[in-house]
Amino acid sequence: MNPQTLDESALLSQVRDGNENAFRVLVERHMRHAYNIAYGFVQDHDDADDIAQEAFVKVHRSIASFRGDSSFATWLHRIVANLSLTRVKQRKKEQSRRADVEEADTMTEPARTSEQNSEHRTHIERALHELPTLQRAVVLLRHFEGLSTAQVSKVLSCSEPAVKTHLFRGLKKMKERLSYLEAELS
Amino acid sequence: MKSHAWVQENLYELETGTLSENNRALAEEHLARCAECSHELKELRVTLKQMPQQLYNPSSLRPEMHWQMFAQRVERKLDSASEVEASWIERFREMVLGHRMVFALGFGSALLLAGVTVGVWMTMQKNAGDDRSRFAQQELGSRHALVQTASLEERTEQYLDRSKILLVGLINTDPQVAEKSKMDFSRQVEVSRELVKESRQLVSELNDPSQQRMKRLVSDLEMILLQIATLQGEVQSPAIEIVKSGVDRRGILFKINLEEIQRAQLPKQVSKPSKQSI
Repeated sequence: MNPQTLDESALLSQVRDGNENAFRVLVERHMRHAYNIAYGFVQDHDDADDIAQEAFVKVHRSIASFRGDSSFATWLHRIVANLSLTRVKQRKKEQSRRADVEEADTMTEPARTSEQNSEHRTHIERALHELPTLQRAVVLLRHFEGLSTAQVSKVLSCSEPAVKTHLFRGLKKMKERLSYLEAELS
Repeated sequence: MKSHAWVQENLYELETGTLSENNRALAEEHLARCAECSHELKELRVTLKQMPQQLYNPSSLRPEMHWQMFAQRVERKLDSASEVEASWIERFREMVLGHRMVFALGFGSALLLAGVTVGVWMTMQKNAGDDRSRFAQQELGSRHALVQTASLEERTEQYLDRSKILLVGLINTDPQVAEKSKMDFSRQVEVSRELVKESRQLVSELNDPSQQRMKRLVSDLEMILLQIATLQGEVQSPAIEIVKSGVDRRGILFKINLEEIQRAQLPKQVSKPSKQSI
């Protein structure tokens, strides 16, 4: 049976059976989401790409232990979030060792595009990046990736009320920051 | 009656229709009487309007070709990860077997000692002639290995030179100007594709422990070259920015320069063929 046409659970069962084509289809279905989430944390395209790849390597290794208590997407998002948080911590350690402020500035500078919405998109990315890590993760997963509060709480291993608190505070800060950036532009 | 904090933390759920019926009723009841929370709801609506979900899509900045090759890159990562695992398993096995061998060798060597002493004297007499030819063969073999290593080093050197020229050109390109003037990157793409093939070959051949740093550099370079190789159509400035930031973040040019300095300090083993132009 063609893995392209399979639903998620059938596809996962084929991946568990060692079907490499099925694994490839699974990767192709979720790679952009994994990348977007990783980018939201690390704000660097190369790091996001590395993390997304690493996440699928982990999926491949531990697919047998995935029991399906949550959806595959939730599980994958959790892996991506954990890898991203580790990367963010590593980066903070490196930065404090080198106290290299200049690098941090260039690293976090969002890419520019010539598209119509690019400026606004850049503002969103910048405002998102300025949030504390957990608030950023919640805004990213709950609002931009459309996960439910319960799913986000599973991904980030925190309670649902904590997710709601982070979301409320994060969105408030996003609004302030976006208003400031828009005003600065005009 | 729910608290302000509870209502405010559930405003997003209320606004996106994901709050349960019961909680919705409680929140609406509170909102009807609370100016502060109603104001928060209005603010939230403005915020959500300001940040539509579809605007956040960083993966769209990567060219389609990048995504076509993504699964392949994951598979390669899986292969190299299992190679590393296999080498650890092998080392572990050797270690375990090594301990068992200690006992076996203890008994074996005691029994064989006498026989070997006699046997060595007899064999030395018999094989005196054979040894000379074997020694000559071994010397030839080691010379051949030296030439192979030298030629691999030369190929790596050429590969690094070509990559450096390509990257320096790209680093000095202003992405905005390139995009506006619709600069043609087809030659760079073509060269990158050749270099990607070469890097795969080199990575598979650089197996000597002394070549591991070079192997890592070639692997890092491959990632950057892949990004250039997947540029297509009218090159957009973000694509060039991604490549530039990758070169910068991985310190590629610095590492190439370091290799050059170290190579310059080593005596040349084999004459160097002429460089290819990019």
